[in-house]
Amino acid sequence: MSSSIRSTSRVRRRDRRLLAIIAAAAALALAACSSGGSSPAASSGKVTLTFWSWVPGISQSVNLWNKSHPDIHVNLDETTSGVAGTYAKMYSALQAGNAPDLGQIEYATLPNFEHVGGLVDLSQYGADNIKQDFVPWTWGQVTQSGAVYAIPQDTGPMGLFYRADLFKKYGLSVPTTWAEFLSDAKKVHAAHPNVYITAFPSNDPQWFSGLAWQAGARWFSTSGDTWVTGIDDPASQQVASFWQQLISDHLVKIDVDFTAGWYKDLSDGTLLTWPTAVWGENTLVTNAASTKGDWRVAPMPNWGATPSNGNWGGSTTVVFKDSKHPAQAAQFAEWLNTNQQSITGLITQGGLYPADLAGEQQPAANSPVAFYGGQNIWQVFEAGGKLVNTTFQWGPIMSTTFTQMQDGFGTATSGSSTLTQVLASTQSQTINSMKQQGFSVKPG
Amino acid sequence: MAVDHQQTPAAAAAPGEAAAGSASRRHLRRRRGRSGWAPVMFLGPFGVLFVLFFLLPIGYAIYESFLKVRVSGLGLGPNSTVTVFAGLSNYARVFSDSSFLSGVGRVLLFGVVQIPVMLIFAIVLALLLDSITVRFKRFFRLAFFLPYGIPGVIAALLWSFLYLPGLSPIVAALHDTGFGTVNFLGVNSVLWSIANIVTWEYTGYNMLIIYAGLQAIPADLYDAGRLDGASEWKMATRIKLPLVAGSLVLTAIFSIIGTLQLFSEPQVLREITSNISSSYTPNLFSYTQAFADNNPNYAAAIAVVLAIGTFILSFGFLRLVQRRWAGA
Repeated sequence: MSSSIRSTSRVRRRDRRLLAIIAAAAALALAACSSGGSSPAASSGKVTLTFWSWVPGISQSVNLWNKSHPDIHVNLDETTSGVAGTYAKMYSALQAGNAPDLGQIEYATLPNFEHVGGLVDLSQYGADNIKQDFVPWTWGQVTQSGAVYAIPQDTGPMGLFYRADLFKKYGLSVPTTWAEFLSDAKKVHAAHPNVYITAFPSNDPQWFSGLAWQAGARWFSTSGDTWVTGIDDPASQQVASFWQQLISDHLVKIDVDFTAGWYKDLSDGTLLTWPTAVWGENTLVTNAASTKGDWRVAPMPNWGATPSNGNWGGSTTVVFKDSKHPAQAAQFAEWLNTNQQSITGLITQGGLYPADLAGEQQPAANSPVAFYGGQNIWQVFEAGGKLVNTTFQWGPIMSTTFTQMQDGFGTATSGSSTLTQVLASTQSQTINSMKQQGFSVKPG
Repeated sequence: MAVDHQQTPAAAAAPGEAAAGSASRRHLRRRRGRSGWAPVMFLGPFGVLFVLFFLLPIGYAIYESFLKVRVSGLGLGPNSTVTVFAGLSNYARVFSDSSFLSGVGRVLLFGVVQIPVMLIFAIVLALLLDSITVRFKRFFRLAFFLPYGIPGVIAALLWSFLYLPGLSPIVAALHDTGFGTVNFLGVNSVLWSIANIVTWEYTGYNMLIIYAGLQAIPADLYDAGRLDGASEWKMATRIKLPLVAGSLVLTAIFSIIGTLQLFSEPQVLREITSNISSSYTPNLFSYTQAFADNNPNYAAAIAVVLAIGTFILSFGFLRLVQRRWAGA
């Protein structure tokens, strides 16, 4: 009796462990053979395209296209966001040769897809002709050695969201330089130990990259057939040592951004500012609703006399190499991001800030916002977008670089290293990872 | 409905046909059934699923682990990125990868502390439930087991809210009662916060295995013990524990295996703290390689190494237990 119970429980327990292994193995295998695929042309000459995107409400724009283009039908496949699994699915589909015709890809991830040979050069379908429609820096992001690999959709120019009510209460002036930002930080924290100028997001290398971008960093560039990697270049080091000083002197709160605790700090006056991208507007409206009317937006504090800006986020529309109708797919990608009716949908339904210059003038992206006390915050970002450094480029294994930097931030904010050390280690780790795969790469 | 109509007569005819058969034919059928079809019928569903969802994925993972992506130049444009045979180089990299090794070290440290604590809890609870003086036995049995019924990810999410400073009532209560600001998500404390979640989840499960073992002990052993004047404590240490030793070894070794595969708790807590790196546990490392770094070949090699480690532990355990039983 006793032994039979033992053996049954042994089998059950063992099965459970095996199931866990099977599930892990199956997940790996399934990821490598997930389906997608472009549909062949219908007999009538009508073309059907598949489009993977996670932008909320983008179906409105797709429907608009389908109504006005009866011969080219676009099937929208609403996915989870890229980092939440869609990029992995795209890589797998490309490997299996059944990627969709069209997809959503963020700027930072574009070189990664260019490098696996997944994208169609759209310059052969007239993409060069619409270059002047877009905010200048975006075109540098979608082109690579003369080829156009994507059509810009939206952008994330940065600005400084600040609590106007608390700035007044504590007698602070809105900082126009990072030096003023630092003196505000010292002043308010000395008088009110539980109040901080802002939070350092210890989990968020993408936020940091926007700040480095503003300072003139050049993390990646190409020289002939070689990548030049400069993650610890002087501009980046300048940003890193600035924030390291704030961290070491306990002048910023260490938070993990986009978590409940951080939202609470933004709502209850613990944090006075949030240097972030234009889409942060919606983050505050949604997650700090009780502060309605208290926030305003100012241009980013600057490093010197010449104003400059960085960008955080934004994405593009690409045509994958497996498409059987790349010309039609390119036509849709261009229309989606330049047609004003389509852009209205992207702004109002998707909450995107368009990369299209005419789109930035639409009322939906250029009107006073009640949550921000009636300030037309968009004008700050429109001006800020024009200041975004056009030479900044992403590398071919950006997700690895971000992972390495994020792991490093954890050690810096827990005190076992510094941000400048993290930049140096991310630089050498990224170069190692690239060399391991065979890239031609050198430090810059 | 149409399908039903077609099938009904055929199904009805089958018994009739069998009854009409001669005795020798029936004998033949039974013999053939025993040696030919019955095992296939019983094993078929299992076999198909086993091949589809066990052998094939594992085979594919092993195959992938021998490949790697080779890039040339900038890696842009056609033919600059090719997949080539890598031999054992992915495996060589696993064993020399400090991220992997420190992850293994971390889960071993975790296991050395967490498993004994959890099992001692499980033993105490099982003995309490088994002692006759406890009332509401069924209620407590269910209550202790309940956490195991909550999916691991949900449990980790629940606990993450109890750990998050600014929201956690526990952190607030400790602060108000003079313990200062306790950081459950600190660089040194977060491992033990994960251990707490795992203990909470699995103590009841392990208790149930031990309790089942206790229930199976013949009552006459207790009668004999009582006649000899043994106290409840003596009965527990001299009769009960030795007789459930097999269950204890079992729960221990499978807890070790579960620890090696630690994944969902750190993955969930990673969302709220930067003190859990992308290679915190070997499984998390493999996941990052596969789904963040787009390096399925290396991820497959890590997964295979982990699986082999797990199998070695499993079979080592089996041999250990078999020797025990043979000796008993």
